[in-house]
Amino acid sequence: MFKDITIGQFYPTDSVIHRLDPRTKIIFTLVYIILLFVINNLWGYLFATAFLVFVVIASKIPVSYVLRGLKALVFIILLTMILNMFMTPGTVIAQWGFIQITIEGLRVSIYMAFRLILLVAGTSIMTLATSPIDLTDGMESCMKVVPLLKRVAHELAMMMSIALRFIPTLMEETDKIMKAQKARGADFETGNLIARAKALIPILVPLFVSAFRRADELATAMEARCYRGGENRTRMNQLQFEKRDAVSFVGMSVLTALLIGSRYLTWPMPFPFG
Amino acid sequence: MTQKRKTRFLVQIAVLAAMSVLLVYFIHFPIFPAAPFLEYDPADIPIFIGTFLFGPLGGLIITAVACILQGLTVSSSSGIIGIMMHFFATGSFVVVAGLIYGRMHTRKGAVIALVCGVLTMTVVMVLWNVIMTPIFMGTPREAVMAMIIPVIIPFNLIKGSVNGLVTFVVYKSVSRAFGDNGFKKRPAKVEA
Repeated sequence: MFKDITIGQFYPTDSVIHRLDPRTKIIFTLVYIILLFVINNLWGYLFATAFLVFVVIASKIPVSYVLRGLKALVFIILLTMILNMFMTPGTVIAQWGFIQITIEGLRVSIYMAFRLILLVAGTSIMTLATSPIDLTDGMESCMKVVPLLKRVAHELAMMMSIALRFIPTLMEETDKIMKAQKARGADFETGNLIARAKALIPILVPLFVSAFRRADELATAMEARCYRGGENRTRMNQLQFEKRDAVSFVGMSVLTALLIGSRYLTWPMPFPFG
Repeated sequence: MTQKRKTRFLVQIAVLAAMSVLLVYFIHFPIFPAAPFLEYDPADIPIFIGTFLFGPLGGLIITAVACILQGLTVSSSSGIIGIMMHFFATGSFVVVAGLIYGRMHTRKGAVIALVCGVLTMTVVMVLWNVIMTPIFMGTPREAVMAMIIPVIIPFNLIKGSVNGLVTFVVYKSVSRAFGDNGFKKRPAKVEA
């Protein structure tokens, strides 16, 4: 049952966003995250949201997929909104007893909800539209330009690819061990924290032993094929920037200019923002 | 390090990171029913074991790889905030515990290392929440301050000590299996 599980949330289809170079997507996402902290008024957030909606449509990923990632966050978003609304000092617009809502509080809570949602949706679009293997490849070439990470870029990316490749294998193994222990009467689902932690031990020990054995076999196999690290290593699929990457870099510059420019917009804004 | 040991080290780190990610996938449940987003997960156990085997630097590498992969796959909903938070929490634990266990390679040393690690992690998480949460989430600082004693401190202490305890119990048998695999860095000394 675990053979065909897709770890992560990669949604495979064929769209412009999927075909973009992973490096472009990584850089774009980083720029977008930084820009979200530059925005300071409603217009900026509206531009950023419109842009995100555009990317979602272009990526052909069903909206429900993107929203599913947000479901886990609903609680945190509500909590921050409530805390902000009631605890920001300023001009009072409504009051019951000691609870009061201020204009500033209303404004901040809406901005922060925007920022959190865009932050999470923005990063999850990258993981939805890029397979994990492409992402590690992209990360390797991105890390090669960072001074401190340059020398370990290949090793780090290699570790990530190996780990990704091992997750399904070890999952099957874990499943097998859990079933074997259940057959012997082990109980993993009930009890308090201590009982559950104790139940972990008979899973972990065999899992570690088999993981180390597999690691050993893989290391020997790599050794036998003369693995010598990143130097002079060739690839089957070279990453290559295409025309669409150039277009998206132009789009990124326009978005950057737009969002920085939005800080100075003086268009009138609706009620709580004016 | 010879190339042979380097390759072995690389693969072992990758496997431990993979275990860290998949354990989260299999096992996670909220500690306090009232706050469903504060979940216990055993992701730190393979990382702690790796720290004991390879020292603080190896532990930090496992932490970095595991955090990025976990952020990209299982818990991608928390995005970049989750990746950084996990890295700082586990990373602080790994550095402290790794340094202590490196000096005191005994059962007692392991206990001290784990206790100090849990305490450091809790302190780092309190600092992180006070400094970074207002910036990321815009939560007013007073609200975060109010949550420190009833929520943040107990959560991190409980999660850290459960993981530390399991690590302590599991480590001895695991390190023996590890020693059989030819990576004999500290063959006779494994006592804890």
